[in-house]
Amino acid sequence: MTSKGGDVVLTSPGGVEKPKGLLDALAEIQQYYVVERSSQSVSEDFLTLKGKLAFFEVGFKSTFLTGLLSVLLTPLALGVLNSYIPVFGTTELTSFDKVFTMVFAFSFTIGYTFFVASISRYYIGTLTTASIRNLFGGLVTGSLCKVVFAFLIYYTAYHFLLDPYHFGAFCQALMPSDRPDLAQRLYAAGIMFRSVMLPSFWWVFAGGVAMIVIPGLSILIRSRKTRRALKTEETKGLRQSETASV
Amino acid sequence: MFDSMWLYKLLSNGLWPRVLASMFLSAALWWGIYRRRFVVGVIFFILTFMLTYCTNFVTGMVTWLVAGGEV
Repeated sequence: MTSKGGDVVLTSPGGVEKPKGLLDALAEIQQYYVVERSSQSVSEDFLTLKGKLAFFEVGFKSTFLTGLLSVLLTPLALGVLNSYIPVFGTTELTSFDKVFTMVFAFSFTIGYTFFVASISRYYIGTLTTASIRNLFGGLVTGSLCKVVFAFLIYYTAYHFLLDPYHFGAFCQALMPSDRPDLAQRLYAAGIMFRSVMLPSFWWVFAGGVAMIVIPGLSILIRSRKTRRALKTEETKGLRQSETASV
Repeated sequence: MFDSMWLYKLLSNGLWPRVLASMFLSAALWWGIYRRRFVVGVIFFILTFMLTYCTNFVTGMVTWLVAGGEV
């Protein structure tokens, strides 16, 4: 993007450059916002199919990968909350420990959610809204895939892998026959984890919904504010030009 | 002989492991999301995980390293 004598010219031969990560995508969106706010709106076609897919991919990847971390850490966090697993070397939990383990499990989801929500005030103009819509589309798809993945993992674990019958047979087969205590301990740990599998799914589901709802609502509310502010600026400008001409 | 038990006691219970874990998690988010240094973010995330869930192992390792292989 360059500026020639006050006119802003979008100079990118193959449309937009492919954003590598969420930060790049947000930076691109900010640039489009500045251009569309200070001059006329740019056609959506400037984004090109490749650019649209790039924004979608960034949204999808960042949501799905952070979701995988949540899927792995949520059963551990719930195990801590139920005092099955020690945290910071103890099972006597303080309020800090309870909050910290849940925040730890959802840390990247929370971080990305607020990071994406921060672009909501730029939701004006044709090109900017198209970019945000594609990024948000990737985010929604990533969240849905994450929830489906969590459903498959947790329900398979609950109904098949950690089912008392199957898991008992597995423990007996795995551990040496002269050490029945080891098999019993492994069995107890497995059954303990089984009890947190279904609640874990609902936590991941709630995290996925929050990741869609928070940026969505933020776009809805803050874009209206931005539009209102721009209208006020326009009317002020008109008034000033009228007074100057009088 | 160097008495490394103070370090073990310091890291294994109370305020310090919680403060360190919070700092590591903040660093993981800062480097992983904001600065886009994925590897650094992952390293801090693993450190947070180890300090939170494997406290005894981590404190044992740190104590052993500081004591030069003698505890």
